[in-house]
Amino acid sequence: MARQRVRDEWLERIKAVEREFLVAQTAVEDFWTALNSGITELPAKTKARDAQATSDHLEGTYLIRLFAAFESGLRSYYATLKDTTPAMKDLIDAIAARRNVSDELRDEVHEVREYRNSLVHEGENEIEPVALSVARSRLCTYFARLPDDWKS
Amino acid sequence: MSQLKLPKKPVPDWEKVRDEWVRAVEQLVADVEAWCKANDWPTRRIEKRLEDSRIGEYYAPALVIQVDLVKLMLEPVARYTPGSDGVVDLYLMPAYADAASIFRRGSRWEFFAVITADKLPEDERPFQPDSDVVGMPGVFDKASFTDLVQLLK
Repeated sequence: MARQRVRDEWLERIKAVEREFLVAQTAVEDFWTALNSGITELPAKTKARDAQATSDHLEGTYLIRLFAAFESGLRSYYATLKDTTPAMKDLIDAIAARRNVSDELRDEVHEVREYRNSLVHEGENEIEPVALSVARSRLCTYFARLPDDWKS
Repeated sequence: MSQLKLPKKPVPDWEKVRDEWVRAVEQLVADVEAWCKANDWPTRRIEKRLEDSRIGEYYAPALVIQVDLVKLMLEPVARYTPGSDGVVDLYLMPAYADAASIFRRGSRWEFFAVITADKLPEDERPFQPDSDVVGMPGVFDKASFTDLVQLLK
């Protein structure tokens, strides 16, 4: 039986972040239900607005993690080509050119990157949000253009 | 193969539990391989490494399936899941989009897929004005797998 290839291991790590998000999302929804029905209380030193912020920021938090997994994988591959550390924008462009990624997909990945940047550097620019499932689809489709294996 | 990591929070008889789970996944993969062969869909097995705090590190097979221009992957996810004795997911590749989750319940496998309603024949579409997707549960066998693949294509 063939062993799992490096590219597929990275793809799986990206996907795993989305699965963790789905569990966390359900946990937060259940927490709200329990809170509203008086079954549970807010943790000490927290207020309702903190719980609301947890809900509001959950998907964005996981999008940052999703992109971090994608970036780590991309840099792991790029390190086998060159001994430099380009900015993420340049890295996406360089690998897209090398691996024949369509312009459309490359641009969609940049939209995810820009949204991720807007989350990290809160409110700098108004960026169209990208849902986590859409981001995962774009990042995995792009990542699947990499070769099967490399020395990580 | 290097030394497998031991479980951090082992369940009683964890080696037996792990081996029994791996055997169940191997049997499922073998069944799906046979169903694919009957439909002339090429497959390729991959050895996947998994880590679980209760049964340690282990290897189990995953299966890549090529159906015309569509690629699917059957991938073991976890032995311990709420309400079942393990789950294997079916993904549409390369986007890694969820196609179905396949749960082991007792000696059989059951699936739950979310299908966009427009993929279903018109007379089978439920009246759900608030949703364009339909949940499809059922026993996972040759007929349901073949039907599911046709809906995913």
